[in-house]
Amino acid sequence: MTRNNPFQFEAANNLSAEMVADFFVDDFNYSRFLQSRRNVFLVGERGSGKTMALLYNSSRIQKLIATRKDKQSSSEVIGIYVPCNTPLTYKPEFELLGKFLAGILSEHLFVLSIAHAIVTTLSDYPSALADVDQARLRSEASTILATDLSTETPFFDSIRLFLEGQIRDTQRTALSRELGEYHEDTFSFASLVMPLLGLFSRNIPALKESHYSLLIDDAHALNKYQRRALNSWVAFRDHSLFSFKIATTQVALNAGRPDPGGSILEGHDYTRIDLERPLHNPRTGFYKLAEQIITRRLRKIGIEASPQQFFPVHEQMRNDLARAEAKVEEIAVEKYGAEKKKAITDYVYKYARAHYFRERDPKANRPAYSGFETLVYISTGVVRNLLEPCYWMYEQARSTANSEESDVLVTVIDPSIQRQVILEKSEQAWRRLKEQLPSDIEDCSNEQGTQAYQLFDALAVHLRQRLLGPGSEPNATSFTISKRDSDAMQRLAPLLRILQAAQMLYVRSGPSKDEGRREEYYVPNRILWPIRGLDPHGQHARVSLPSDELWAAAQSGKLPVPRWLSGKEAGAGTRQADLLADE
Amino acid sequence: MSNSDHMLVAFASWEDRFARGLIDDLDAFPCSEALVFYFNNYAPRTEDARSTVRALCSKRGVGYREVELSPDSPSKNLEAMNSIIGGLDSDTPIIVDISTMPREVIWHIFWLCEGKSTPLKYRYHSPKSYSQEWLSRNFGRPRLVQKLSGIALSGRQTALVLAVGYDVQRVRQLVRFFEPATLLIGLQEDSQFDDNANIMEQYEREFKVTRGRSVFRMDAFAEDHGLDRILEQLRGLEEEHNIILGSLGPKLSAVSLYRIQRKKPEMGLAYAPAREFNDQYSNGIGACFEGIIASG
Repeated sequence: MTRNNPFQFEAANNLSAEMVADFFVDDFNYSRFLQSRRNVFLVGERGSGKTMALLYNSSRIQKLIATRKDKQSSSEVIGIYVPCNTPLTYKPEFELLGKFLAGILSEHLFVLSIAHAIVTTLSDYPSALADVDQARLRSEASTILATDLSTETPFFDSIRLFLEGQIRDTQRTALSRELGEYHEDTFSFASLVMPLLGLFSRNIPALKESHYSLLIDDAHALNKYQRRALNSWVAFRDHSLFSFKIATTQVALNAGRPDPGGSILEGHDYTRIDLERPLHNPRTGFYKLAEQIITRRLRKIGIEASPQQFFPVHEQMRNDLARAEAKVEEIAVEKYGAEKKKAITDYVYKYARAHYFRERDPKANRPAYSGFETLVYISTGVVRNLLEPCYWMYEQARSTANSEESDVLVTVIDPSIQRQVILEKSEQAWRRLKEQLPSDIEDCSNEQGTQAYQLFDALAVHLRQRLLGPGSEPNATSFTISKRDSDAMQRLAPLLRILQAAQMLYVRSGPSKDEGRREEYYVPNRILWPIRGLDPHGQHARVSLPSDELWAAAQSGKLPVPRWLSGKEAGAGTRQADLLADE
Repeated sequence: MSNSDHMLVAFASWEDRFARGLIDDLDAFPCSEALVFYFNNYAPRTEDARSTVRALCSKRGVGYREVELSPDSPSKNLEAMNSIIGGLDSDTPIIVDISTMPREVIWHIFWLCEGKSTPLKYRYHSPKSYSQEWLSRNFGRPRLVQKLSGIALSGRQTALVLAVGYDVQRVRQLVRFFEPATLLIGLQEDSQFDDNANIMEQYEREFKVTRGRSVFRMDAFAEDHGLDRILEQLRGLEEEHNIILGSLGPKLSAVSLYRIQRKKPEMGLAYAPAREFNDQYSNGIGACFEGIIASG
């Protein structure tokens, strides 16, 4: 076990408060929404940073940060963290009840856990109760809770103990020998959470102006009754006292859970923030965020190097890429004339890296994939995908230094180690795609697993033909799907869902050439490309592939050969890729 | 006990050890009736074996009843089993042959019989060998087992304790689903099966990696089916964690985990349903293990 590996990538809610405070990098694009009084849906796949963002905005972490800065923490916005990926959420006994009771009991348990989180958080503000008429507060709280609260324990703790008793009793009743047994005295959001928050606001001067940001994490784990209840609370008009910040996965949204598009409206009832970042070149927000994340991790263990210095590009590859760029620039100058700077820049951007790949000896080993920029591209815009290979590279570097001492510092990751780990991870990804989808992904049959693999295998072959061939947009690795209304698309859709659930495929939204509209496009996880000899950097172009050809590829493992390779006209539905401007 | 006092409960399978195991059961404990559950999606595959057992029971003057269950409807299954077991005479001792019984069904039958204070024994017939390819796949969503799901508290982290076997992918699925802060993997110590050592090493490599994860050795084939070893690991976890127990290894670990859950009802049992099983899942019939769940 390596305590000093700075690239821990495990689930954020398993990190200590100190680690969350240390590691979180604020993305100012969305932090203002999380700190606002608006309802927000934070959407992203596993590892995209949702939990980290919510935890960072929780009261506990904000207090820690304030303490570190020697300041008082503010109670203007109190972040209440409510995790949903818990055994309490997965309690199945409600399924033995009819729908009506199931809905009531499900909301009851959910609401108890929210109220528990609120009072647990507020018990960190004992000074808030100074100069408060606690007897009156207890009396009013007793009315809301329909119980006498103990006077022997601090106020918030007495409510917490009551709620814990309720949580236990509800479950004990559900576990009784009678199959349809249920706890009769139930609470709802309107009968518990809202009155409690109102009580605190009216009777505790220090909390009079407080706004409660209810940070609901992993909302896709909620059962259908709880999701419906949550949606109904999001629809409340008055956001002065509380608002919701709800983290959920894209896949869950697409599958109709948690169904924010059902009874509530984006823009009107909530703001949606997508955490996966489509663009990764050094000019983009995600690249800068990645830089900050890695820098922070390095500084934590006393390394002053920049991420680019810590993960250097292999010298030979750097030189070869530079030569390729120079060569392609010569070609561009000849083609356009030296004065056409933009055309030359665009041409070099499109073809320089492809030229490098094309000019390599076919018998040569895989390229020396390395460098921080390559790691950012390979992450495909997901933070955990960035940290994980870094973690393994660090482990390998320590192992190579041949020491288990925790104070031995790795100051650079040799490009050969980077290459080795990248290729290993790439191979693992293909192995998972080939062998593990039916076991890893819910509702993925063996046949679908095979089809998903064949689809991507065919895609990899196709993209490599493009990369090495004379056609345009050689480095495109994203794709759009045409003929979306076809039967083939209907059959293809479950495979796309499976690939998304497996995080082998990300679905993004980008500008279309079609009258300024936006279109959905697909970005395979770039970790897949190195072992197939492709360039994980890709380029900002999307290959358009018809749904029927993709479905055929899923069956057969083959896509049609690109027309510039076959020398024939393309079949119906194949069209040239579009080069789209950066967003 | 008199000759025809027992009720034999089993779960139909196409594996050799289902029919052959029942023969052994009927030889060991003369029964008045055999109650055989089966999953509807495998009805065609288990048809022959069920016919064999039906004929055998008829020949021996043992009553025979079949009950269809669905792998995707745990509530309906529990209701069906409750209705049948609820109607049994509490004094009739029951033998549950768990050899080919899904763990969720094992646990529910144990729980239902316990509720009637019925004398309850279990028998397990191991196979001679397992398939070297795959055992099960196409997994449904993991779930907590109804009525045995534990008492979880807010504000606690999750600890997942798994008794594991050959299906590494199933373990991965549970870990991925629950994202536990603490993961304890119970590796099967010794096994008659050749590949055990390689597979256990795979677990060590894959899961003994980051904070909050550890592996321990246990023996599901020991007299207590690893119960003491598991309890040892659980010490100290209960105060701070909601604990989930999963049996993914030798079937007998389902017995020890059940016993632990009944002793510590705040812990929950989890089940990871598989939709596809290899029709060459196992071969032959090996040793028999038996024990008592309740003496009535």
